[in-house]
Amino acid sequence: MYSDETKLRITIDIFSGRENPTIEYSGKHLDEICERLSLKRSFRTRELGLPPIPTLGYRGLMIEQHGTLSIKELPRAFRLASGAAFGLEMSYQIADEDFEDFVCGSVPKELPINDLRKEIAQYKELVDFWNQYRWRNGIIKTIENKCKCAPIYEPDWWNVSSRQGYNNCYNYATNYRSNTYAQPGRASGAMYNNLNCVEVKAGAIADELIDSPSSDNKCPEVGHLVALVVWPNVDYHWYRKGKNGQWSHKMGGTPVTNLDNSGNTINDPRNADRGSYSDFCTFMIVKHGHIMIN
Amino acid sequence: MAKCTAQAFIFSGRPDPTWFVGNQHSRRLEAMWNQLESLDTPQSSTRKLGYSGVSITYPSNIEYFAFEMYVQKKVGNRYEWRRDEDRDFERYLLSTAPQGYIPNEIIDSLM
Repeated sequence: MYSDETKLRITIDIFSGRENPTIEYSGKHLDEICERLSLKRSFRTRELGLPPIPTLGYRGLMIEQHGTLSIKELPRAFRLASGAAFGLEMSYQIADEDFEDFVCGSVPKELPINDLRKEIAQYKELVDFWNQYRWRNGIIKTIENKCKCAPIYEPDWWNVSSRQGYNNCYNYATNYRSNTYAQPGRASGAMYNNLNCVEVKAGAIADELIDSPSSDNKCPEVGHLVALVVWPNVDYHWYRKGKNGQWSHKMGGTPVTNLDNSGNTINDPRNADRGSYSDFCTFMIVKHGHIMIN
Repeated sequence: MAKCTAQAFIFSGRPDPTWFVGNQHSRRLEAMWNQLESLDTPQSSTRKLGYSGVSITYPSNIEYFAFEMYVQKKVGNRYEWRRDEDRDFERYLLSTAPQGYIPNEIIDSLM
């Protein structure tokens, strides 16, 4: 028997523009649900799972625990479609293969049940199609993104002639392609005068970056983490922490890279080989859509 | 008369310094190139934070790039490399920059 402090949120992943509808279960309702979601059979490595690319329309259920008490029998978060559950390093067939139809009985009114049932059926056909004809790589297991809100590492996009030479470390770290070789504070008339941590950071704050010195290399809940370092009186440099938790950077107009001066990947810019950029100034947070740089 | 343009690859945030190189210097650099020993194998360097070489582009679009004991000449899509063990070419090209353009520690490191 579960208490009301144990909660399960089920999101119907169906829309593209609108927010997906969600259903919450707690307390006594969870007994039946947990039984339906329990493991019937683990998938073997070679068994096929979900299509490797997202599709328009219904794409399954996202199930998350979010109460103060947890359900030990279930993963914290996983995706479910066509009677199969996929989570962090796990995948299995659930006891009730018609669980999605069961959920249909609780959907919000704005989502017509018949439409949803039709979408679920179509998605099952798609999964069957992919399994039979297209997909040969085994189960795609959900890999938890370490920094959910951070940009992906995509050097190829930046390293083209129309962008590479026109965007510097600041552009890249903030993930903002202005093609102006942006300078901290210039967009807001508060560009630095001297090349030190205080002034360059102040310029970035004027651009609406958020100073977060105590971040300690941890991903923020919203936005992504960047780091400012300075070559005293000479120059500054920025790094950004990506979705996979690794850092990358772009030295001036040169290509994007995830390596430091010693050729090592960057787990923490405070410890990376930064050449003459000896001063680690601070971590800052970039909230997408909030900043303006030039 | 069109001038030669030099660029030092140093900074990350600030734009890299660029400057015009006078005829006397540009002719001297071509003479220095002619004296260098040819290299058979292509040379390249990985860009790192900090100084990563210096280039000069002539009005004819011939470009020389010098860094770490080699000089690269680019004509269209063709490349040629020569050894510059004492980094004389590189040091001379950097010396043509106006005062203050190149951080002293970079100049000192090449001495």
